[in-house]
Amino acid sequence: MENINNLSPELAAEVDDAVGIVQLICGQQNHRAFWAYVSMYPSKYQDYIAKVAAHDAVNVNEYGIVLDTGWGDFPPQDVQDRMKTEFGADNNFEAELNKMVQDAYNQEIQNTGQA
Amino acid sequence: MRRKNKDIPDFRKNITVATTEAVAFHDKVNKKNSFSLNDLGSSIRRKNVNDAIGTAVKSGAAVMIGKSIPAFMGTSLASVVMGTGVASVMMPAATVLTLAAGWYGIYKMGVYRAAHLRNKKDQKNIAEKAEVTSYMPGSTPDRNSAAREEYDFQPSTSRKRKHQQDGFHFPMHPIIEAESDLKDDYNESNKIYDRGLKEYEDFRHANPNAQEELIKRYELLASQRKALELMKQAINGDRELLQQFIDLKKAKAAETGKPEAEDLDFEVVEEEIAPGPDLNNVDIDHTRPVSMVHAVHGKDLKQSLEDLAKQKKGFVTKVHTATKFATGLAGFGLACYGVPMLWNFISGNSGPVPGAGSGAMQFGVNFLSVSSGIIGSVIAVANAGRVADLFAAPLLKDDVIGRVLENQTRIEKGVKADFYDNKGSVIGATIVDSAAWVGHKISDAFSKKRSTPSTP
Repeated sequence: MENINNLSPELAAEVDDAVGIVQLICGQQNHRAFWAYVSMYPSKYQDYIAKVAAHDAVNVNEYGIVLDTGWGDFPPQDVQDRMKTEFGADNNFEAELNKMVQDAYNQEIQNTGQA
Repeated sequence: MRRKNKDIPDFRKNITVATTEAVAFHDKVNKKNSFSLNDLGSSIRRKNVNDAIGTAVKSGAAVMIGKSIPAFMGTSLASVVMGTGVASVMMPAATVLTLAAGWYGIYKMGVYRAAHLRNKKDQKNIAEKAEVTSYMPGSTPDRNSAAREEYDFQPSTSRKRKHQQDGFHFPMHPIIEAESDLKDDYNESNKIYDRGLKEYEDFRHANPNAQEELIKRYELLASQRKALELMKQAINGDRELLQQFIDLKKAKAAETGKPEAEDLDFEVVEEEIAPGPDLNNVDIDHTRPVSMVHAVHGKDLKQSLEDLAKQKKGFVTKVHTATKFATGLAGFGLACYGVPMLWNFISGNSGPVPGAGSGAMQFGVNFLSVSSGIIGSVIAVANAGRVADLFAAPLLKDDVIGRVLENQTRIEKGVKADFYDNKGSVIGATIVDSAAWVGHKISDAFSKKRSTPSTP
């Protein structure tokens, strides 16, 4: 499986320039709840996930471009609507993505079987 | 107060009452039902007769040109396409329609002019015999704020209260009212801040070594200063911030169960209305992907892929060009020769347009036929791309999605994508591949083990 570290810096920069993974983040800053929509750099995505998994404090600005943020447990409805309109943000995206990959697996199995 | 004079229309005007006449104006409204606003230094915008006529002529001419030219063009083209047998009927019809449109334009000139004159008369009546049934106190015209630009006036809260005490009650626009209330809050808070600042200075001089207490007081003042700046920013036209204050007041009113919230204090403002989080050194509870976007354009990724594929994919471009060329050619042929030839075939006549008569008439009709054919072909070529898009879009979509899936499976197998080695490959291919790669990474991150604190 291809590892992110195997990518050349040029390619990583090209990927970061071209694609952003919009992430809805909820957490605490100075014991105060916040939410943020961030367009993550793909090349730094794994590092980010690893930090979150390790419960480390994260400087979100290092990992992507902040699209919108505010105080509170969850983004208000108007922000959710705007993110949906402007960036296609969808709370079910993760499920869709998994389905997409699953379809790809199935297709590959089918192709291998036919071969 | 009920309006008694039926000779003048109902009106609503923003007027400027001379400051020296303000009291007299108020008295007159209370005591009299009819008086001249001109006597009070009012300024009512008027149109003069020349303006009215000028507007009428322009409006009427626009109608005339806008209707007569399409009428003439429409009937002429119809006659050309359908043959001069029809043209002999259509040409007179075109003339009649053109003339009718012209007369209609002139008639509209009269209508517009009458309307303007009537308006002018009304203006004069209002100025001389106005009956003021209600008025809303405004503000001084030199005040510069977003509310003024949008609503022309900003009654202050104190002014509003004064008039309510006097027996007047006027509904205010919620935004204006909020701005006005906030200004009152700001003024009160500013006084408190000034007092606090003075107390701090006194304390500092009296107790220069009480560092801990000084820092505490200083931080409190800084926090108050910050709250004041936010209030000032909202008052000076930051609508988004003002809306936050409105929401906050509503929330506080709901908390206390009172119809109106108490004045906002510093702590509330600083606590509830402050710049958003800076996202440095945060603890993340939940994080989940919600979409992938083209980072440069901020578009939906799939749309970006399709756009890029349209621009960059060679074979698709060729399909586009070929389809466009073929459609344009067909349009040209149809417009120039198809219809006359078809007519010839049916009627057995000869010539580009049969039955065109002879001499100048035939030349004119044939000239129109050929020129309209050229115009038609230009239109056909211009629109061919759109037609081609209609057919090509589904193919593009399937192609792009197919490539995404294909590359995903290739990466799953550990095959290094050829795109990476080929620097000459198109950007679209890289993005398609990147999307696949990103998709895999996300999926991998979430499906391998749910160790990340994801998805509440």
